[in-house]
Amino acid sequence: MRKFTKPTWLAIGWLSLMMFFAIFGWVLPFKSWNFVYEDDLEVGLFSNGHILGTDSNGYDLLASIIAGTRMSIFIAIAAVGLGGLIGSVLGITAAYVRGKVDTVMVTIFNVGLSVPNLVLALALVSVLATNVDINQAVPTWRRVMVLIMSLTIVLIPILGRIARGATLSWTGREFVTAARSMGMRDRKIITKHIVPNVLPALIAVAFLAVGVVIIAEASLSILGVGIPDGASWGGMIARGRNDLEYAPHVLYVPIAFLALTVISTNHLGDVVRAQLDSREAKV
Amino acid sequence: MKKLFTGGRRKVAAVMAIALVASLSQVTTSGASGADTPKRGGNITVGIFDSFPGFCMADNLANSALMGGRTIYETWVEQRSDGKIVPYVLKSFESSADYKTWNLVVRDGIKFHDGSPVDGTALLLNLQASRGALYLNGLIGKTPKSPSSGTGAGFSANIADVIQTGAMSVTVKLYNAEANYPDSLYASGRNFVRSIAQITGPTCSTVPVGTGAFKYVSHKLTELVVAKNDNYWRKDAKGGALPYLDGITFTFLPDAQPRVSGVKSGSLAATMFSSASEAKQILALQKDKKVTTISSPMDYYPTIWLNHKIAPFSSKNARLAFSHSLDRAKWLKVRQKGLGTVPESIVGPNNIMFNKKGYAGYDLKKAKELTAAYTAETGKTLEFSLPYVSASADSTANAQLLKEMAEAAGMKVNLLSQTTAEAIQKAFPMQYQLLPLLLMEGTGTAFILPFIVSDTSGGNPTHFLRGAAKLSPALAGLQIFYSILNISSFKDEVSENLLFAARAEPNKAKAQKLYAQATEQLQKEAHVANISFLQYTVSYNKLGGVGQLGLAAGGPRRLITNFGIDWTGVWSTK
Amino acid sequence: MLKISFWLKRIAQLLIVLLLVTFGVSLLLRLIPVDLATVLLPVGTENERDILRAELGFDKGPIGYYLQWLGNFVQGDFGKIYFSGGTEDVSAHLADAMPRSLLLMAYTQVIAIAIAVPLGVVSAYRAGRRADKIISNTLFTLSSVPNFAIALLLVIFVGVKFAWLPTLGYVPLSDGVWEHLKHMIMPVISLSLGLIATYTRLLRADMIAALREDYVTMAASKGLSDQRILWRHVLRPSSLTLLTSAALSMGGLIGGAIVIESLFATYGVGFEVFAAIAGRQYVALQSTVAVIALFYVFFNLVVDIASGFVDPRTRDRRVNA
Repeated sequence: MRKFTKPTWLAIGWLSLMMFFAIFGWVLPFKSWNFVYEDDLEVGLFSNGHILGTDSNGYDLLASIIAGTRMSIFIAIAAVGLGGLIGSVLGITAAYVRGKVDTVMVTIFNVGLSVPNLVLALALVSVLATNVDINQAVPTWRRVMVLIMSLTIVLIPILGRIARGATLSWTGREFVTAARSMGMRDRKIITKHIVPNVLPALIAVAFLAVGVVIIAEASLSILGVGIPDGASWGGMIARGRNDLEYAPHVLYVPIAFLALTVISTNHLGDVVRAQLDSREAKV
Repeated sequence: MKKLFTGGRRKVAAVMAIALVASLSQVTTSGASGADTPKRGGNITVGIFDSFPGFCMADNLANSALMGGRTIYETWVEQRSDGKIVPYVLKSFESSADYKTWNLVVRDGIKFHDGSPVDGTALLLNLQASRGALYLNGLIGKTPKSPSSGTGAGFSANIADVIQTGAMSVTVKLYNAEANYPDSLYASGRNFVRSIAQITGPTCSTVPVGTGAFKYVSHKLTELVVAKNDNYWRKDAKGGALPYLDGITFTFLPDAQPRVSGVKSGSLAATMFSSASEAKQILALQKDKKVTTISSPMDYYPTIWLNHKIAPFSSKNARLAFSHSLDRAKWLKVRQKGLGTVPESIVGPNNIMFNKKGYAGYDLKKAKELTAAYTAETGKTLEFSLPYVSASADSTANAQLLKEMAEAAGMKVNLLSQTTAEAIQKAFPMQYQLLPLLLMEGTGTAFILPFIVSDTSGGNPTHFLRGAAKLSPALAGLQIFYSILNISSFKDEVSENLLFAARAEPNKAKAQKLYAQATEQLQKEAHVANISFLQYTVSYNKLGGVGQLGLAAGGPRRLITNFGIDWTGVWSTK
Repeated sequence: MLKISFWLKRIAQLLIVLLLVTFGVSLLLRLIPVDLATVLLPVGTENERDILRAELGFDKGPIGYYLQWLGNFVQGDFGKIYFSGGTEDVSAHLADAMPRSLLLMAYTQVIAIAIAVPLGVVSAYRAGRRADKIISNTLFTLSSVPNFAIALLLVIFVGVKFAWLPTLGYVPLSDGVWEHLKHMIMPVISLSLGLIATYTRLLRADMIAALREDYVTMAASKGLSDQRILWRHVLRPSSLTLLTSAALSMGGLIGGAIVIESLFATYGVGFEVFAAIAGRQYVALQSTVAVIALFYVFFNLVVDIASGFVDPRTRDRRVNA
């Protein structure tokens, strides 16, 4: 283990803060995120107790950011977790078993990859979140589920391909061959030798994927299929995009949080990968 | 009625908002003014916030798209800036003493873009097409036939018969007296003069052929391109040919920001805004020295239509509770940045129907009491779903604020995310519990009355569509259009009788009294609710001659309306 | 012989992918819990809807519907868009939108690769030193800012404050090359910044690995100049991952630039996808997604062929990876 550098500590610190907001945000003594402060429309930073100011509809930006953290981080972690789990199971199995299973899996991954992420997510969300009874609003929790599911489906081929590639490079190694010749069970080989070696690569990619999902959620919000009844960073950007000229902070604040979070996850992904590389160099 | 992708509540509104208004005065101008000598030539791009579904009778062009359509099409009559309706493509109109028969005469020497003359036959067929008679022809195998008139049937349902009386003249017979029939003939600038070939041919929706200063070149849902009509019938003050511009491209830009940056950077020569959601942009552009911004009066009255057919708004308690819960002052401050006034009636103070009596204004205590009364009455919580267009930042913000207000009074509100296409599809006939939609407008009632009576033909049992519907089941769809316009689906005989009596009354003071009584009745029952009034603006950069060209019959044209400005006398100073 | 069967197999694979994608989308549409004919013809009569159902194959099962759609699609009939004023052909929409998207994609790729290659070479050559750190950190930060944020900032500063470039619209090449390019610059910058970062990182990593290979050491010991080794012996084999990554991003740039296309009113294929979804034009959606997948698969094939020229040794290795 190398010692963490300063940027790494900063990234960890930032992400911890975001996690703290996501989990404990609702007990913090901040303003209400869904209350209209009609006397403080579009006020700047640090005015009238609004630490990050308000947007043009009088919503407190810090409160919205914190409420949005919950939504954005939850969706990202859930989608990456599920997508990573399913993707790696499929990818590792395919690479280990090879043959027909592998061919089928590769084809399925290619099918998923041949539709642009945003198009796929957009189509899935809009189809899955349709209700038959028109006066029955699709509840927020169901939209969140649909969003997570769609992003998971988008992630499976991406992460699955990487898991498969990583597994392939390990199945040829001497110790795997040796284990096989010694009559070790396949399941055991996978859990003992393959997974521990493939996992770091997947974790590195998962960090990157969290960033991708946060941005994808924001893009979907801009296109009007995000979470309607609640705050998410993407939703804030979507609502603030017409305010850019008159109250730029309304847009800068969520973009800054989003960018810092993505930078942090990307950086941590790099760190994990670097550790992996140096370890592999020793093998 | 289906449109592909538009953004925002005001566009939903606009699809049906077939506008009509007399809007006097109050026209404001700001910013730099252009040079005064007309310059010929040039192609410009104009940014609009509505798309182009088509050009036939049933394809209702929404406000800013209507501005594009009206460069190709003209109307039989026009509205002067003082609100009076005057002949335009018509030479004259006059009524019988009982206001049940109207004689219309067409102006000589006007030709359509396809070279055919505008005459009595063209007038006859246009009127027949708009009331659905030519559509009926097609269904029962007669010619000429034409596509469906759509909602147009609702606006001309009072017509009993149309007869051509000469080469250039037509007589219109009405079921019920209508002292201001030319107002209905104007139909808020939407009752276009279309060529016979267009309304009876297969390309009615796709190739508009009118008499306007510009000819159709091409269109997509997101764009309309028009080019100068070299044989245009009107001339400028010095006898020179009109129009000055070579061509205009109207481009669909649903978000406000691209329109603002477009007109400021010069990528757009002009662009349109609505104060419903773009007040901030309007206020900023009014101060901007680079562009000129002109504004219409606050004569547009968006309504929150409450569906009387289903719970909860079948209950008067629920309707009144909702209306009392709407904090109009807060709305004005937050959503309109103070641009406008707090409504004190379902229509604005310039309208002949304006009456404060019986209006269920903001009163949180009453709203809470009535919400409780609803629960006592039905045993249920007062709960409803509020549709909004999630792709629009403004529609989302509106919905959230409405929800907050109703919930402060103890109601439960679910936000119902919809696309514009869905919203329109489910509004006619109305399937929502309630729907915010801009339909009513103006100083008169031709564009208000059809939305608040149960049958625009006045319940006439001899209406030709009623009989024909028995012959052809396909016509049943058309038949509903003369009662479908009231999307709240209520029938109130008290207000309805007052409204029809007022429409027949030539004496303005007497009519006003009757209208005011009708308004009071509607407000007491809270048949509809409202929260704001709004206006439209046009901002332009390097243009001259805006609003300088008067009407053919003399007198100034309205400078700007919900369908923007008239492009005939405009030139580019670039 | 081996070569021909290899390519036949490869093409067959891609065809299967295409068939599965289109069938998947087709199936997805049948999952919508509303009647498609009613959605397409909201104010039509039941009779008109029945005719439409038969015309589009909605009355058949999912497979029957798919086969009918596929039959039309391969004959160039991509279906229609329905609205109150009648119908429009999806193929006409795509014919209008596709050149916009393809040009946007081509410029973005050219710019991204043209900038990423020198940056990648420099940072690999000077790995760990100051130049590498500056390049890596700058690109890293840029790639973390979403492209729509960059687009919004460009519009405000370059478009409005300084008024250097038009803020919206698309001008075809036939209306003047400069006018065309002026409208493309800001969308291209917004889309390419993220790609530059990705490509540079990939190239840097691959080149560092290649620099460690034996043949490079050998070339150096033979006295070849650093320049020559770097550009001829290291860059060429290292550009494979870059090419593959570029091919993978093609589909995304054609159909996925939805937000950027809306912000700049470029109205390419991405906007068509969005409009189809927003307007519930499911037939148009199905055909448009199929066309995007077609382009994606085509570009992948092109890269496969190209990579054969770049480094024949690696072909077999990467095709199944």
